[in-house]
Amino acid sequence: MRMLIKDTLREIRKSLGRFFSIFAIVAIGVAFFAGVKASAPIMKSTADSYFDDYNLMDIRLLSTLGFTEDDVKEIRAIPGVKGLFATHTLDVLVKQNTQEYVMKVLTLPDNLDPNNPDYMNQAVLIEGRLPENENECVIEAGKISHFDADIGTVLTLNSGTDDELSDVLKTTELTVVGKVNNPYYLSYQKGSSNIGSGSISGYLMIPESAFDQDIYTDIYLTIDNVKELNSYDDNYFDVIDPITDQLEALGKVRSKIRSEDVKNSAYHAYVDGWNAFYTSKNEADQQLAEAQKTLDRSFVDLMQGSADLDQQKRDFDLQIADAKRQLRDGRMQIANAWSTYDQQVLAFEKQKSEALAQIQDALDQVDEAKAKRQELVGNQEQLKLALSNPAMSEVEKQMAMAQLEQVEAGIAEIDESLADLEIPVDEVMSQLNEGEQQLLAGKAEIQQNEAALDQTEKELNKQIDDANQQFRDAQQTLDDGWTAYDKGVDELAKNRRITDEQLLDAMEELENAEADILEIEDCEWFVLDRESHYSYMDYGSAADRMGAIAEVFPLFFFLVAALICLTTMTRMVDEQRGTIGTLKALGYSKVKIAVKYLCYAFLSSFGGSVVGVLIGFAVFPTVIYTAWNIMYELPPVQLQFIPSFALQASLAAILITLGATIAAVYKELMETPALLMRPKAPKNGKRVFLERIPLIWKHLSFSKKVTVRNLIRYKKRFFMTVIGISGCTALLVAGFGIQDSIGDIVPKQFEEIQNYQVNIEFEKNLNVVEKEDIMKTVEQFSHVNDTMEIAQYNGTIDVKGKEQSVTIIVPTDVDRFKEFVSLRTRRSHTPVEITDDGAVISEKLANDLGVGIGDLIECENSDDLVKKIKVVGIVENYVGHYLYMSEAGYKATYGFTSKATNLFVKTDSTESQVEENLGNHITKIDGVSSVVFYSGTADSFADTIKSLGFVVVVLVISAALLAFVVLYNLTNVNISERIREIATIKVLGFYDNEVSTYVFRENLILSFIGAIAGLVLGTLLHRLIMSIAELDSVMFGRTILLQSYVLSVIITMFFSWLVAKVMHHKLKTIPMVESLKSVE
Amino acid sequence: MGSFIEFKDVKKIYKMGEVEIPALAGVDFQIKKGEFVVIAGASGAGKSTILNILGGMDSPTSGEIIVDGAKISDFNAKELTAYRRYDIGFVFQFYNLVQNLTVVENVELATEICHDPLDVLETVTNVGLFDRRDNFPAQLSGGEQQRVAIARALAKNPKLLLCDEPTGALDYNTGKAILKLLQDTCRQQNMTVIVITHNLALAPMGDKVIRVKSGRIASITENETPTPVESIEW
Repeated sequence: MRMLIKDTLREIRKSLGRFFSIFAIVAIGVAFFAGVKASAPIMKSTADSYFDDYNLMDIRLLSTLGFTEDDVKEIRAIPGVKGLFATHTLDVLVKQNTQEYVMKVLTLPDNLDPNNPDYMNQAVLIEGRLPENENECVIEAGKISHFDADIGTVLTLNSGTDDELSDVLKTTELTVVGKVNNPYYLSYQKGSSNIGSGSISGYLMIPESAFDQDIYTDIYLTIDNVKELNSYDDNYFDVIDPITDQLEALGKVRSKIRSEDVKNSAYHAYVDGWNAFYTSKNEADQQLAEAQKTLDRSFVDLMQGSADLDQQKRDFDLQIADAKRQLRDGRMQIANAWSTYDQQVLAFEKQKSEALAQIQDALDQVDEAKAKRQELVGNQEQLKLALSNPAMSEVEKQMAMAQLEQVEAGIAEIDESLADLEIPVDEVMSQLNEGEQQLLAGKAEIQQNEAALDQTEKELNKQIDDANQQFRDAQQTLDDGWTAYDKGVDELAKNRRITDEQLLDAMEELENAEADILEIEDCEWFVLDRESHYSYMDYGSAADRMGAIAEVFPLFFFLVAALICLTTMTRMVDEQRGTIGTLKALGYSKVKIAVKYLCYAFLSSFGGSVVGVLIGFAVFPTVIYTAWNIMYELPPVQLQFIPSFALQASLAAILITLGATIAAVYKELMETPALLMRPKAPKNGKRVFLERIPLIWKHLSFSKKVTVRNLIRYKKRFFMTVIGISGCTALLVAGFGIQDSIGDIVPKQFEEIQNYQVNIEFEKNLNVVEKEDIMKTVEQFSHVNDTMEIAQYNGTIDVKGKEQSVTIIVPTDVDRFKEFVSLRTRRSHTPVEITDDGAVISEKLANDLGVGIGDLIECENSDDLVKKIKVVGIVENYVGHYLYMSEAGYKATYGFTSKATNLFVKTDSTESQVEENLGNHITKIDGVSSVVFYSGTADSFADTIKSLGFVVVVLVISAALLAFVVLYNLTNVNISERIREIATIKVLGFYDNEVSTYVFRENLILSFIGAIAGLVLGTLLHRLIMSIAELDSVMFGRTILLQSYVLSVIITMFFSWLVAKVMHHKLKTIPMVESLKSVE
Repeated sequence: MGSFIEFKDVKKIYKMGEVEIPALAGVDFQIKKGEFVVIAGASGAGKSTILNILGGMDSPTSGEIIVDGAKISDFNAKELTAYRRYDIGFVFQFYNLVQNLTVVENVELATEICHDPLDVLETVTNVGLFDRRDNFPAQLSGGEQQRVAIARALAKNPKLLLCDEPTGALDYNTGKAILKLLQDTCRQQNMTVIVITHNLALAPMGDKVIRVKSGRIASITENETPTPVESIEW
């Protein structure tokens, strides 16, 4: 026996390469098996100790009507209850930048001592400090949380419902003072909410004292003696379940008491509601009717006004015509007067000139007479002088006396005529003056008349102008009246619509309130243990999925390990034929001979197992845990040694190796020593199928012929290599495929399926008109191509016991909706129609629910109504769950008329500058509650997913390891088996390269066959990994790009080539003298 | 006629750690073209070393070897390979056929890599295996396999046919037949044939018999009248 051990040890020293190839493959197989298998339990136990360290609640109590102090007292009295924290939770909306987030509000008790049993779901402070008063909060410090804000930011909280948040919280403005983690939430998926976007983006922690409510909404409990237990184990629930039962029993009693009051007040509220409804309906009707009446009245007034105005215009026109006629007559008379005047003037002038002529004549006669008298007077003087002259003879005196008498008579005559002449001049002159005076008077009269007429005309014109102005004013007033009337009509129509809508709302609400009251009677407590806790279940199922991989994945490595051990040991036994024969001839028993090989196999596999277990337990759980931690927020892994897995893996590996050894040895041991000492009859050469096709066969060189025959001759090697290499390629395909499939999601979801880029959420309680106004405003912005109003509700669906949020979308126009979202099947891209008899659902949801077209699903809408809906179509979708219904379909299902809640907007640019601009504009519009740009969502999603590239690296490294071990082993076995042949062809004068080709062509071909098989295997593996790693609300693609297949094959062949390169040296050193040795 | 092959003070010393083991301690001999030479000696006498060095599988530690005017003792590995490829025909004790190739293919294995091969089928016919040409080695007897090996060596049309214990694994009669084939080939084709054997009984059939002992030449005997194989008994 001692000799045998010695022999074994020597054997190992002699064939270290072989020993280590078994060692290595066993190590790899065991490492994979134990390591991957241990990952799931390690994930769970690490999570559990995190839960324990930060005192995660064991049981959470909820009541539809909240808890009173009395309830709390009763609960604390239950034996086994260790800690109790009666508190409030609340979902709120927080607006940050342009986006609105749904946040869960968690509370911190007054006593923040970590050892306080009543301090549950303790905050793990990462940055800053914990809140010290009710104006402060801490937020989640997530590496991938949706919501982030700097310390010092003031957050404004909003209830997201009709209720005022200030009814519940003392303050709604909170300053962020720190960032924390919390065992209550492990992942960025935090479940669903009834408000806002429907899924919880993050959490806030505030002091319990910040709540201003007597009634508690939540009670958290911890239970005695469960910390030591792993909460993912059944025995944890053995302790928890009895307490859960007691709590449920208590709940039945307490909830009855609690509901009595509430039910009564609710009924009163219901009745009041109807009263209020009718009151407001009557009021509204009255108001509307009054408004109508006013409008009608103003219509009549306006019509009357128009008619009056027309009449006035007509009358006025008549008056004016009359006045104008009179004016014309006056003008005519004046014209006549003027012409008469002119004639009179003419006549007067004539008369005047005649009279003046007469006067002139008369004056001339006077002048003449005066001159004559002058002359006569002169004569008289001379005569008188002459008479006075004494010297004058009387004759002469007589004569002079006679002459004087004559002259004096002449003078008298002239004086007489002169007296006669003077009278007519004055008369004429006075007559003329009188005539002239008359004329002037006539002229003045005419001018006066004319002036009077002008005045009249001026007045008339003014009158006309004034009248026209008045008419215009009157018309203006009338026009204004009509505009006001039209406006009034529009207003009334709008008000009617608004009122109708409001009334419909109110009525539907009341109609449903009746059902609500019935529901109040069902009021109960919900006793939720950790199996109802989202993060616990989420992480648990992640670990379970990992466990599922662990069931399949390592088996493959074991299979390869088994094959490698078998070929290697077979070869070893073959080589030792002579020795076996000798030992047998010397009288050693079969068992004793076999022991040497079994020892050899045991030592190598045991050694490999030990190393494999050590490496496996250290590497794989760390790698896998870290990979999962991309999505979860957990402290570093706590490695542990799991003896059962170590034993399982090692035993399996050792047994497989020993089994393979026994199989190899058995055949030899059965032969007689004599036969064994003779060289083994070489295996028969065999003709292969290819030889029957001379066309190909003839053209093959001898070495290719050898290759072809060898391939078929050594089946074990064939399978070992093909399986091993196919595994390598499969890992590569899966690795690259993961990238392809995941990389696919973002462009497919956000470019191909969702054709809109922006989603605007209206504030609640906007009326139809206000929504339309927002739509019109948005449409006017640049870069906006199209918009559509959509009713978007947050529903929940129970998917295998886990509540998942779904987005219910009811488009206002089913046909136009196609321009915004491509509803199509994934494979054939056949368009899917939304019909009125059910809902079109997204593919992932259908898969998770396991339903097909025609099946019924149960979906709760945002009003907590749970209804059954028929699936009428299944559409391609990657991110989120969607349920598309027509307006009629929604009404038929839920009894409510859907109303637009959101506005989908198509833009022509997703550049950040453009979006930022647009976002600023949109948020400024009144009535917009939040804006989501999908390019941002797409980016952050792409980032999350990119981190999964880590998995790819692990897969590629595993692939390389596998390829090297398999190919190295194959080549080793191949070379040692054919050493004589190789030496011979070297002797025959083959150059080194020719020798390499001669040997390695086989490897390359096998690798290639393996690689091709690996493509198929890889596709399957990829599907498996995808379905296991898939997130709840995200459907990973199943596509593997052609280049990934090609790349996988190329890399596999590269590994193969690399091994050939390394082994080339080994070939070079094979001594030719080997050819001279006898066959062993 | 000058010597075709010449060994001049050829030494081969293997070093095993500190210890030097001389396999050849200075060997001199000459062989003429077309001679049938038997190199005989006990196991470990050094005959295999001579064969290895002459066959280009190994290089001497010192000394000169000239084959057909070429000083092969100075050849590097690549030149040695070419030398084996074009100048040497090798017949092994255990035939060393490629199990996966038929008779014809095994011969083709050699002819495919040399410059001026003989016709494969003719060569196979010449060694008397025409009927078995499409059989695999495993389907042939030992003698037949050795014939294939000889055909493979001859088909290369080498300058020198080196045979390492060609009858070592064969029974008496078959061995005789093989030796006859070799002798006939030598005579008919004027081929230089060197047979290495531990069986001194074969010595009389050679034109020249070189006896090796402890790494040295014990004697070189020229046989004016070589005995035909048929009349040799052992």
